[in-house]
Amino acid sequence: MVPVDTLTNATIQHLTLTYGALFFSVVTAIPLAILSLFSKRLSNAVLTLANLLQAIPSFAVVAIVVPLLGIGFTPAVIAIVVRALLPIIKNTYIGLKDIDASAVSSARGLGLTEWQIIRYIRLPHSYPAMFAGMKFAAILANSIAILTAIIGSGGLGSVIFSGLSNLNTDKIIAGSLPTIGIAIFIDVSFTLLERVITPRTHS
Amino acid sequence: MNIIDRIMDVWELQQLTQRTVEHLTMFAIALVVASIVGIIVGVIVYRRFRVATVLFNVLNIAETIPTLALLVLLLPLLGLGMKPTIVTSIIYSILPIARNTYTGLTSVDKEHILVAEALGLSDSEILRKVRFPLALPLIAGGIRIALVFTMGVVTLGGLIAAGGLGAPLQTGIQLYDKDIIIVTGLWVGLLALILDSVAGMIEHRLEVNRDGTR
Amino acid sequence: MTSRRLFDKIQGITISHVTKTYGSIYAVRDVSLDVIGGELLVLIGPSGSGKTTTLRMVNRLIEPDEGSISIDGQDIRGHDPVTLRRNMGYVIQQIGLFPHMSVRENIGLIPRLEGWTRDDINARVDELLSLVALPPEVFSGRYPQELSGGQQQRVGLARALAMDPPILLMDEPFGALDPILRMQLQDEFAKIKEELGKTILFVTHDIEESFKLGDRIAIMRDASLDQVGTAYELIFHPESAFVADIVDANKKYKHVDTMCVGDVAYALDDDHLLDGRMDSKDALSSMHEHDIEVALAVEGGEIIGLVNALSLYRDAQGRLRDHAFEPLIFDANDSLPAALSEMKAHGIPMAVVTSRDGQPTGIISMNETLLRLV
Ligand SMILES: Nc1ncnc2c1ncn2[C@@H]1O[C@H](COP(=O)(O)OP(=O)(O)OP(=O)(O)O)[C@@H](O)[C@H]1O
Ligand SMILES: [Mg+2]
Repeated sequence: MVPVDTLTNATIQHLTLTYGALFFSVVTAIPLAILSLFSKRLSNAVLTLANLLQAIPSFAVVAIVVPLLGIGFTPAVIAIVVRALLPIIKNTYIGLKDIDASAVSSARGLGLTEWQIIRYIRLPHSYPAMFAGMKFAAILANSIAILTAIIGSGGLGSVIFSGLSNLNTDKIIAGSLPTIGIAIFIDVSFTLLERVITPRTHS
Repeated sequence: MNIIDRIMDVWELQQLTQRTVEHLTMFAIALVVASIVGIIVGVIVYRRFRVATVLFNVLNIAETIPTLALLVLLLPLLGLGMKPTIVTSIIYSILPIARNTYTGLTSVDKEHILVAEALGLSDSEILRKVRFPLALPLIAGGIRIALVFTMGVVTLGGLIAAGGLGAPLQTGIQLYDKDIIIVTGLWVGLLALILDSVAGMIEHRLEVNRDGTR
Repeated sequence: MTSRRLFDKIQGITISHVTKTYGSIYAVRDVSLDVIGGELLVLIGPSGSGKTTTLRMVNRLIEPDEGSISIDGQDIRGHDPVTLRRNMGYVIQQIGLFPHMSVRENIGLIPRLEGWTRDDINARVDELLSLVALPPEVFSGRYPQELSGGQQQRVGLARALAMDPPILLMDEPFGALDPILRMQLQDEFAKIKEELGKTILFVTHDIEESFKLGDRIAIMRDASLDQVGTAYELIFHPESAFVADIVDANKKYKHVDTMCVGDVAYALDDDHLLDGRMDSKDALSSMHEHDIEVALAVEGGEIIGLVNALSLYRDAQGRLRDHAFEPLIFDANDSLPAALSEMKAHGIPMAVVTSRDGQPTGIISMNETLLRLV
């Protein structure tokens, strides 16, 4: 059996890692997506990079972080952010961009500034795509946060890996089940959140 | 020691040629099986809207389960090594392939189906000659998504003694050997990119052919 | 799988009291209609009047709620739908062609499913492409997106003819084309139609198209059949204001009263005079060669009668004189309405026009005349 407080601590650590990384991903990705609206070169670079990096196995990304940043909690967060960033940027950018041109020009005609157009027209329009990207990123973060235990992030992954080292089935199950619960929680909560935030405009 | 020598060192000591072969073997088996199963599932459910909805909802939930969690949970059933790795890859890959097959088969223009019926094609002939060929670009898209999943899972297989390129990555991290990590990490990344771009090219070709702008 | 050939040339299609409803809407309501073997029957009427539904019931794409349809007296419900459809060509407007198949594959699809050899398929495709005036060496390898609208429509027709079905169902086949192209394709189709000798059910919105191509015209309104008849009958004896309106009888034919036979007769030249003793087949090829529909059979300066290419095509046996029918004869100055009425009364669609001295100078055809007046 795994002591309850060990498991509780590991779960808290796992959640901190997952949601911390998700937070940093969101606050980096959304400004980057907005900035990409202003520069064709930036948007090309960002989207190409996003597409390329998405094809690379997470394990490779987590491993490569080690020679660059060492091991521990912070490198783990960074590894997760690198992967979780991409779906948010990509989806947000597409959401911002994929809007009726006439809506934008009529807003301009009403006298809205470029910034106001983004704030009041483009951004609300991008919410559904943005939230889909965030949901995907959160599920990805939850998944990679287990893996990063191998580079010393702690969390539920540590429980799993220590179970793996002596094939202790109890530990493996005790470490895995909460991550599955968290995954389903993320799926459900984001679906609900999506409905609350975009009730009228996209019903 | 210059860079080439260091790369060659890692390559030989970590037996990367053999690891790559293991890696690609698992990858190919998983992707082929997942494609066959996924397409068959898509074909079976394409006329059963209810079944399809339930099935895809269940698979959607399965898809959110962290890869590593599924991988280790299969250990008590399948033991260590290649078997759970391949099975996990297949479980993740069936959804995108089956869903895209389903969408492709069901979204064929109604007019085409009507004409096929009017010409006297039977249901199975319509499936083989009209629906399936027209769904190919979408099916290829699904296989491409599955390819990326499979590459990721197979790499994780190194952690449960499946061999492949995940194994030297783990060794590198445990020994804190930067050379091993960088050489193997970049090689895995490169391999993934190459396979993904080949799949992308095939997908694009199929799309273009359907549009007729060849 | 190879399907049985159900019929070669058919005697007729009988649509008997068919009704089809969707919810509370009647798409077709108690429609009875006989299509005579070898004729082209046009279904015309406003949008939503039930034309397509009627057409699709004939090849069992839609099953009627009530009533029955039979071909040569056999209820079509006795045939397997797939087999039945392979015995009927079907042409629709616009995207009828499969985008993932080349022209050759589109046309050869059913022959291939029927297990024909590659050589047989290729030969058939080439033959059909030539029939619809598309050189096979240029077009057989193309994909539908690489064809113009008119070319696509021709390929659609060729595909419908692949199994040489005795029946053709056509749903606004030229509806999506621009007017000039439409006229050109109508002309071509009118010729092909004579060569094929098939029974054709043809849906259109275009009254001129129906005069041009139709042997008879059935007018539909609100899911029911209003009137069936030849162009002449509809124009001169419309049974309702609605029919009169559709054929535009009042506006277009007002001036007919003042015309005489000579104004609309076709001038006769030597090509139209054929020796009554010649072989029917030779006569037919001579008429095809000179692009003539009707000719005059003569023997030693005597008029024996009229012959028309279509009836010769259906049965080209014996000598030409055996096929001649006695013509009505009008003077060039006779009143046109009187002449048309007399032709109608005798049920003879052709007449010979003579000059004052009794020499034949022209031919007048009832349908052609109506068309030229449009
Ligand atoms: N599948 C269907 N479901 C419900 N209503 C239908 C269906 N098919 C046809 N209808 C209705 O039946 C009526 C007849 O339709 P149909 O397609 O036969 O008309 P149509 O004469 O061919 O018209 P159009 O000239 O526009 O092609 C219309 O009112 C149509 O809306
Ligand atoms: Mg219609």
